[in-house]
Amino acid sequence: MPAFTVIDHTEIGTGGAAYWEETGISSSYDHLLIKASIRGEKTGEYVDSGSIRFNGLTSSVYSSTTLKAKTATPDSAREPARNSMDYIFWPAASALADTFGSMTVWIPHYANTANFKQAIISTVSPNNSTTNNEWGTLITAGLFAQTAAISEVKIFSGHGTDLAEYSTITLYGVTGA
Amino acid sequence: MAVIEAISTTYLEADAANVTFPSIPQTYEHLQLRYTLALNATVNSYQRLWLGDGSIDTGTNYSNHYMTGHDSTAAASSDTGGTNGIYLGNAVGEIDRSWAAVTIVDILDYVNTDKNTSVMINTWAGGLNANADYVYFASGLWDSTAAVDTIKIDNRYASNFLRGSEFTLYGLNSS
Repeated sequence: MPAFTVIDHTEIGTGGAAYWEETGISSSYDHLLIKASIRGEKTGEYVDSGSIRFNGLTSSVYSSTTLKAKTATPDSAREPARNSMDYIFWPAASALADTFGSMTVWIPHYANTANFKQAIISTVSPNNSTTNNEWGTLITAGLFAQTAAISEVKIFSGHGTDLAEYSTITLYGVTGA
Repeated sequence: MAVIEAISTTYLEADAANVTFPSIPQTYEHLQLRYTLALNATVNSYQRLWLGDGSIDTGTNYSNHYMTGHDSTAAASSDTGGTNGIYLGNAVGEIDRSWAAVTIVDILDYVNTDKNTSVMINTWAGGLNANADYVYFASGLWDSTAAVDTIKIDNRYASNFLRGSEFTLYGLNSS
């Protein structure tokens, strides 16, 4: 069996999309990996505020700790008991045209029903600007405080605005021996 | 077809000033570059990534945004329109080869001509003393929608990659 399997690959089409979502994810892998080249359509902003949600749950079961920079002073923050993993960076409408962020999300042992789940999120919001808050780098440890296997993943903008056309999201299943 | 395939590995049998991956297949969705390296410099140097379509773009079409941990200091910075390509972080200037730095670079949608090319970089360089340690997380932007078919890695300052440094370029499929 190959170690990596493509579960889904989506390129956002004309007009954008409110979200990307994969449902019915098999529990047959050991880990999930997402690679996303992504941009949002939030106007008046250079850096979007992205979110990730699992299994369609909107209760306060998500907590995040981030190390991030949007200025010359990096900082960390904790966001406990939220209804999604929030404040993820990718470029918004005011960023340089045709510029997309890069994001990697690892969800180790996503089908383990004994323990809560961690999502390891690395994301960057590039731009051709050095002005504060017009770019961003972010590493997040996200807790999904549920023992249920993850079978659904949704990525969306916390602003409620669309993901831009040409954004791509690839979901991989990673298998151990 | 495997999802992840090794496109090319360069193992340096002798010290070298740079490493180039030419004629990259245009058949993958994403690229990932992984390398370990040591330098023959006695001072820190940072590595640079140059991209190109047919030939390397050595112009001012790059932007960098990064955060770092070095000794006991965390910092962040950025620049745009400079002449040093995309910063890959520091490999520490130490002769001891066991202190090789490690870097992973994601180059997503590298053939998509509707997008500028963005990269995400992680570099780790652990050291035994002050000025010999570095962690780095960054974005790099090549302000070009051209498909990437050539990659070059070199040093900002005049120093060579030491023999034994190793670079592998992977392709990631999406189907």
